[in-house]
Amino acid sequence: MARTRRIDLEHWTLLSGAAGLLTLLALGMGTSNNWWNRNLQLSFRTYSAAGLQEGMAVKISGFAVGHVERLRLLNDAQVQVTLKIDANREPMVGRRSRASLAQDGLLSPAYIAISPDLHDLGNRPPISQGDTLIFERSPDITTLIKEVASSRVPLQQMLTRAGALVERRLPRSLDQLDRTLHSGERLANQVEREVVQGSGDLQGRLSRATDNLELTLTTLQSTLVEIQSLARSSNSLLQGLSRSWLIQLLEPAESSSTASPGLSAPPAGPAPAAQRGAPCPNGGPCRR
Amino acid sequence: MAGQALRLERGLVGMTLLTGALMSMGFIQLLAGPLENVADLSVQVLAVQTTALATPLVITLLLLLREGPALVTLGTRLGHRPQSWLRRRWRHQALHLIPTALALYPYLLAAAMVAATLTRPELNTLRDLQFLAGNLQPGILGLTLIKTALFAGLVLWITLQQGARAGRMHLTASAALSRAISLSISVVLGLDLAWVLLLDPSVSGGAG
Repeated sequence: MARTRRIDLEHWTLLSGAAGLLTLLALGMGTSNNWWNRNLQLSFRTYSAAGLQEGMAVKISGFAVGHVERLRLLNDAQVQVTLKIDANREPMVGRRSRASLAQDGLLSPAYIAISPDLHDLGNRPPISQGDTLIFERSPDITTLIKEVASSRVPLQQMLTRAGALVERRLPRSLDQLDRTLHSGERLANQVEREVVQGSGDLQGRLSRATDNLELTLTTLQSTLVEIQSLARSSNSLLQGLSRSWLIQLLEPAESSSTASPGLSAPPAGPAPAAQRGAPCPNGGPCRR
Repeated sequence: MAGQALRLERGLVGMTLLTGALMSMGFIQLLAGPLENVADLSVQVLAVQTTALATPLVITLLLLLREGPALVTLGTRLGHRPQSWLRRRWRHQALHLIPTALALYPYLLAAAMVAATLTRPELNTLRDLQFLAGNLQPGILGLTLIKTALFAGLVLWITLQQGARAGRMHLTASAALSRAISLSISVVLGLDLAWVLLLDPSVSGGAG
């Protein structure tokens, strides 16, 4: 009886352990697959399911936010792809968001990239459960390889033509360039020689001209000094003459006649005649 | 006697844990050694997934080897009774055997996961275990559990049937057991093969 009870206890303990382990497994699966978070289901349609598969990641700005839940072939031969994304990321997805198939490298797994819609963020109506996004098919690696392959023939033709042109024209051009360079070198040498020869004469002439110019300048300077002193002497002579009594006597008589500019120039100070009682314009002596 | 044998007990759970750990480590050695797969997490996931897929077969064989003699003896006693008795007995035993088989599944899987984590540690142990659990597909897990229950029920029927046949034909119990084991293995492997061939292994949890 006690043994049966012990066996029963062991059985139920181990059974509970199994149930606990199963619960832990379910918890682990649920945590990794976001079972406990609210999800937003979106979908898009495409003409080909190539590269798409269930379970592949869905990313916004390179950050995983969900996965592809289901692929379904519709009656019009289009493929409906259902995405399940974390509901917390719902504000980033809007009517302007686009889904596309993306791949980070050649060997990394492909994923669905959703472009964020940040237009009128916070004021626009939220995207709702089951809404359809627009899918933009990006060129896949096969298409790129085909494009490269198709551009290979024209590229090869162009390279062949370029090669022939280079083969035909390049040696001649190089010869011409070589000759031109030689001529230029000869010319430069000749110019150098002439410059070396001519530079001595030129320098002598320049030196002489400079000496002459300096001499002339010195002479000109002394001449100018002499002219200045002459002008000063003439000026003082004229002032002396204008003060002499002979000129003062002649002045009333010759006042109407035109005097020489040098004689008619008034002295710097008041005229002596005016100081002593020079005649006024009406003929009589002026009283002041 | 057979009713007591069909209960979960430490020996059976211990053997299951050991089998799960050995299978996982064996796969890891194979993947990391001759196949030169160097990504620890990939190796772990592969080992655990393969173990999970092969688990129904392994659990059924474990139960057959452990409970087979008792079940054959029970069948021998029912040899001279009508077929309905055998069916009733099968139902009664199945109520014990199938839950036992299902209870062994998480033990084996947990042992495989822990062994994988300890053999090729990549992250810290808890993160590793969470990652491995997250990689299990609930659909595949459910199908594998159904397959485990189906195989256990089949093996139970085969052993009881062979025991009853031995009773009717006055054969020895050991001959009946031998025939029951070989027949059970053939049927289970055949069914597993059919499962793999008829259904997509990625969605059916086939062991192939």
